[in-house]
Amino acid sequence: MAAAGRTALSACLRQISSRPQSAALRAAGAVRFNSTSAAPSADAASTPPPPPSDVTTSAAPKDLPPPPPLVDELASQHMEYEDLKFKVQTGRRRRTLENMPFETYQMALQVLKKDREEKIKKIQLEQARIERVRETMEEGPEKDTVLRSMTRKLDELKVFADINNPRVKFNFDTGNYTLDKPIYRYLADRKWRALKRPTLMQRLEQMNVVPDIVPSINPVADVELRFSGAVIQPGRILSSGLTEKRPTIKVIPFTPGEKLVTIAVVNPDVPDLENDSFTYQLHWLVSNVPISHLHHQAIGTGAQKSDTIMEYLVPTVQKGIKYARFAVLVMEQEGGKLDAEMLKSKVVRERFNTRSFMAKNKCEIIGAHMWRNSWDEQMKDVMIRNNIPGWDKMFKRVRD
Amino acid sequence: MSRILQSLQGYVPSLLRPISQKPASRVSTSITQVRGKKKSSRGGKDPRIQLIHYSLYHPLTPRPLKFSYLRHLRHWTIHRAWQLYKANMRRERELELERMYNSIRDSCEKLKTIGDGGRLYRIAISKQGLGQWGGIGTRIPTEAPGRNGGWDYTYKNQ
Repeated sequence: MAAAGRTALSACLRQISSRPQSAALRAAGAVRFNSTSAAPSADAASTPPPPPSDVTTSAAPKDLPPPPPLVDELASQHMEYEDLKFKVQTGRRRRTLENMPFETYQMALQVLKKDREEKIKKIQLEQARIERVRETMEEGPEKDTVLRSMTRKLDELKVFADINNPRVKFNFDTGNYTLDKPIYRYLADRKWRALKRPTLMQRLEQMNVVPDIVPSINPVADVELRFSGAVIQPGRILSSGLTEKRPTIKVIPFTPGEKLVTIAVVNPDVPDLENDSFTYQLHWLVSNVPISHLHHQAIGTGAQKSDTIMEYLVPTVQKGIKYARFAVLVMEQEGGKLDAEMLKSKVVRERFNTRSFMAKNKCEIIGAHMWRNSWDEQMKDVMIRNNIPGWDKMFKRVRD
Repeated sequence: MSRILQSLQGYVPSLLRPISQKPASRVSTSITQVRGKKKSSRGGKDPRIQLIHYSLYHPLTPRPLKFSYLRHLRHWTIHRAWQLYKANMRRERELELERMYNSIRDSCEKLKTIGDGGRLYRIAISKQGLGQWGGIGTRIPTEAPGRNGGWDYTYKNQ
């Protein structure tokens, strides 16, 4: 494929640009170190390339009003500025991703760069269209629908403009990114949906959290749970010593914007001796937790202020019970901020009904997690330390 | 007969060897026997697994691509550019076909309203002679001759 791709790429380069550069490049068999501008390499090394905004604003369509300022949401294509700074300091040119001396790779970069410029033109066109719709169309549900679909298309275009950029791939693979740009949100979401989300759903379904606590869950945000700094995989049986102190929670939404969430930890496996059954217990309830695509820490160091409705109750399991499930539910407050004092006076730990809480307070689950606890060596000490009765009792199965 | 067989022995080793000398099948040397496990007469693994092994580890099979990160990144970049180029070519071709179709349709519409009673239009859309472009010599070559003997005796070159 490499040989075929190389000849074909050179052919397409010949088609798209009649610049003498590529011909000279092929003839000399040498590789230029500048991939951004068509100027000779000596000039390119000494003068900084124009910022991308100049390149893109010049290519505005003529029949439309002047475009809004350039999309600052796109990833920067090159690291040329850093490159030049380095040159001033040392007199040598640093090897970057954009100037790796491989001929086919350089040709591929040219193709991708040209495609990106086309995409940016499309983005500007779409932005201008959205502006026009916003100004001229009559207010109403129809306008909202049109604007929503146009915005979705614009977001797609922003992703398409950057998705082929090796610099973006490099940044994402090395974890050097934030979710402020659509491309990184897209990539992070894709990565999460590839493995972490299916794993979570498998655990929730196999251990019957889904029909037991809420009828269904469709997570759209990643939830990261840490006990004493250790990241917990969903569904693990944890030692009681580890779960004695409250966990820290990160919520990573892949859509932009501020959100207020409520975090609840519910145990559906509390033995109910009177009815010979099991019932629910609320272990922790924190409301009005502000999170956004840039601020993930919901609870823990660096988290913003939130209202603790119900303090963390140490999870305990009595001897003879196989294990107990503890479901962490992250619910978005669709009705805005909740009245903390009202909740504190109304919410009860025992027989906590998650569904009615969600219905009353207009909450919708956007993320979930779970862990399990069982009777282990430390459980007796944990129960004694926290004044929880029942450490001296054992459950036995009664045959009937 | 036996001499022939003996001369073959070097080439076909299993022909003359008595049954007891057959190469011993691979038998587990562990002391604990696993109950219920079938001993296959040939020994070894499932033939499907053997086949996969054969094709995976055959010396003619190229080794899997193992790239360093940067080399993989270059590979990826070139691949993406190549896919992009192909997609653009495909789109261009489709657009060209669409343009040609639209042009033909518009021409036919004009012929319809040209005022000659639709004569030119009828000629343009008639399917007479369709499928015989280039004459009989350009028939698609097939393995066997056609049903009618493969020879058209009535054919005359025009």
